[in-house]
Amino acid sequence: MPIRSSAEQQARFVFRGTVKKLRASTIGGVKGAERTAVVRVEEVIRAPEALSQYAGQEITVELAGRHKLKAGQQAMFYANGWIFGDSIAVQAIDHPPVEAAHVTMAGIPADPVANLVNHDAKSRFDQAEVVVSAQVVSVNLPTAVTSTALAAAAPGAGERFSEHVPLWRDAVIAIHAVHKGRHASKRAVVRFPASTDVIWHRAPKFQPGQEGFFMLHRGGPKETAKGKWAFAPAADGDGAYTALHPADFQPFDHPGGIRTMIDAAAGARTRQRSGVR
Amino acid sequence: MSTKRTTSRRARRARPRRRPASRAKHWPTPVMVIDMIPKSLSGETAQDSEPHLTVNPANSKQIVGTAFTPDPAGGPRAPVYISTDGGATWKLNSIVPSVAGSDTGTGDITTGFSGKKTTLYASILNAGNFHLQELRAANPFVPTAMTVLQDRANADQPFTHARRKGAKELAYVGVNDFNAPGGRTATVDESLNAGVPSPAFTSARVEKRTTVGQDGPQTRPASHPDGTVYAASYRWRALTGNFQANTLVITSADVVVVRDDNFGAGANPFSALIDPGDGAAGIRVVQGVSFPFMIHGTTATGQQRLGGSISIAVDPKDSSTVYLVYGDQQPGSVLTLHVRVSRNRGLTWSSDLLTVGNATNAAIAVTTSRVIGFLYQQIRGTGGSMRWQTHLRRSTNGINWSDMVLADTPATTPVKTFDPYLGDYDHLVAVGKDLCGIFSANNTPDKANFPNGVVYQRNANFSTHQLLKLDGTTVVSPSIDPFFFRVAG
Repeated sequence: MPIRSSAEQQARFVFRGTVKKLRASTIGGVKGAERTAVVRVEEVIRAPEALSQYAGQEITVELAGRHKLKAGQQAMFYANGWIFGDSIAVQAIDHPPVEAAHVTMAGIPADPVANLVNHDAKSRFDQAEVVVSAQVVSVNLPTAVTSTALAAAAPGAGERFSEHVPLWRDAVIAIHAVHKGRHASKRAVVRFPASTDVIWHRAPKFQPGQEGFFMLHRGGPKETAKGKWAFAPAADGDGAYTALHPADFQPFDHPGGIRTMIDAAAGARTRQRSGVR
Repeated sequence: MSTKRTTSRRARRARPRRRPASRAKHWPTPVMVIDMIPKSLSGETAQDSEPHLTVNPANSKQIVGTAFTPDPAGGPRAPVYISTDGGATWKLNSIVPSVAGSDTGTGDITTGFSGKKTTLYASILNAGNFHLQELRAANPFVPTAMTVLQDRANADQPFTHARRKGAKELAYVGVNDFNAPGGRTATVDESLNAGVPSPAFTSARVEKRTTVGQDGPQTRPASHPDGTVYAASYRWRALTGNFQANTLVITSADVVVVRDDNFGAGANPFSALIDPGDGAAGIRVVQGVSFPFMIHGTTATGQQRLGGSISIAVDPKDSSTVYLVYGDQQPGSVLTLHVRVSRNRGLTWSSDLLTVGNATNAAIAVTTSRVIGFLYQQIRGTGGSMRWQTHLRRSTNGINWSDMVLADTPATTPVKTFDPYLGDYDHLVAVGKDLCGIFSANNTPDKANFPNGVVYQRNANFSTHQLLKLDGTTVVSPSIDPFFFRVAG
């Protein structure tokens, strides 16, 4: 597996482009400056949905990094957002020559939105303490929440109410296999927010019977003692994992994704054991 | 609709140099509504709800809007909407602290220009750790990230207001602060010298009475150049039901207005108004009102969660005159808005100047010509034909009110992706004699949905009622967009 550069990891909008004009801009109100360039997007490699259609468009790029570019030159642009008007301007983190980027980008599928989803999944896989395949057995209120729910049923008892409360639930999962990290028991508890509030809506909402890959984390926000706001970050203490990012769960029938990462990680372990570099 | 001007150069030269502040030359029509999503983001489908707005007192062409809008490129900074032509065109500028991949940018955001050059203040719930952060940008029209001035956990619904006092900048942030002792959570964070490199903020606890354990999330500040600062909030006294089951009802709340006469300075700020009923600081404008406090919206409420609504505005010509809107539940109405006025600095209050049923997201403002503007969103119809109507009511005397429907859009589509569907607030500001505001609504390009006209920057076909991607042909599903409007005084 190729080593991912910092720019490759940080950038959300990645495209192959041709520099059309240096010190120029396509967007009203953004003057061409020393480090801006008009760049034609030749191929979008990775992008959110809103920017996935930019192939063939000329956009403004604020250049960065150590690679100097000339008009007519092609490069791989690793960028994040900046200004969006009639046209768009992005800030490049780096823009190596296409040939240099080719190795890391080799084998990337054609759908830039899917590539971004996979990029996020890879980040979550790397950050996860444990990755397992498992099935949700039950969903319950955490013990601490049970007490606060009782408090809610007794008005004035000290529970606090905010539209942003996470509504924590505990999914008990039966583990089929551990793919990353160590987890000795056949079961685990995954804490997740049931709330549909703006802060929590994207987190996976588990249901009994759900099967798939779980990327499990520690140290996320959790239920706090009565009298404190429920989504204040707190130290881990009761053994529950969290799964807060939409990429933290993938059903088995999801194409590619986590299964590919697991296979790659297994391959790397095998190579390590056999001393192959 | 086009704003293209064909005036000749000679005619422009002949035009008087000074124009009334209320009718900028870039804003030719008396009413204009514009979808703020720019053309380059024609393919976007985010739920851009809970909008807010600020107009620079130093240059009314400079406007900043906000909503639950993620960075379109998915980067680590959330955008603000910027206009430098009085709201005729809009761009996004990603300058707000966020986290890469967030699909809402922040967990709450409001902004306020101080009036000193282009300095903008903002307060957010950070999308990464949900902390309250108070922010500043020297110039929100350039791509420099905002500076974090203060950061703390356990606070909700920050509502930003800023102004100048001579060379100093003052920032006020109404907040429901769960760190406050004794459950007296209604708070105004204030910095009376916010322009210095590392300004100090203090938390003025505007709740002086006992509560059920907390106040409501809405604490709204408003100020006048003479040093008068008001703040309005709900004091929660009793509740019943189960929040997790979405049945919580605030069975008794007081609507409280506090006042300070010296910009909030001194050891005991916001204590100028003493309620004769109990001798405590803060006038209880009404006592014992009731309303639902929902964790999520339902079909019966047009997908919008309800939890009260408060707005306050001071007359720019007379700080003794202050207007208040609050919401409560009345028979046959999911939430009823009441407009009231005090003409003696908040000591006594009128009965309802205007009462509106089945409505939320109240925002009130007063122009320099003393026109009262009242923005709200109202549910009309039932079932699949339910609609959200966005109204701007205006009055010069508080008795006779005009009614302008800015938007009349379906309440059942699109299906919400999160709560709040339209937002826990919208906003209205007075700019000289004009009223500028912002609201969120279904963005289907149908002129029947916008009785006073509308301009779209994003690609749209008003004949087929379809949104189109950047290629001009691929159809995009309807979503919730922020709309700016300006009504000339």
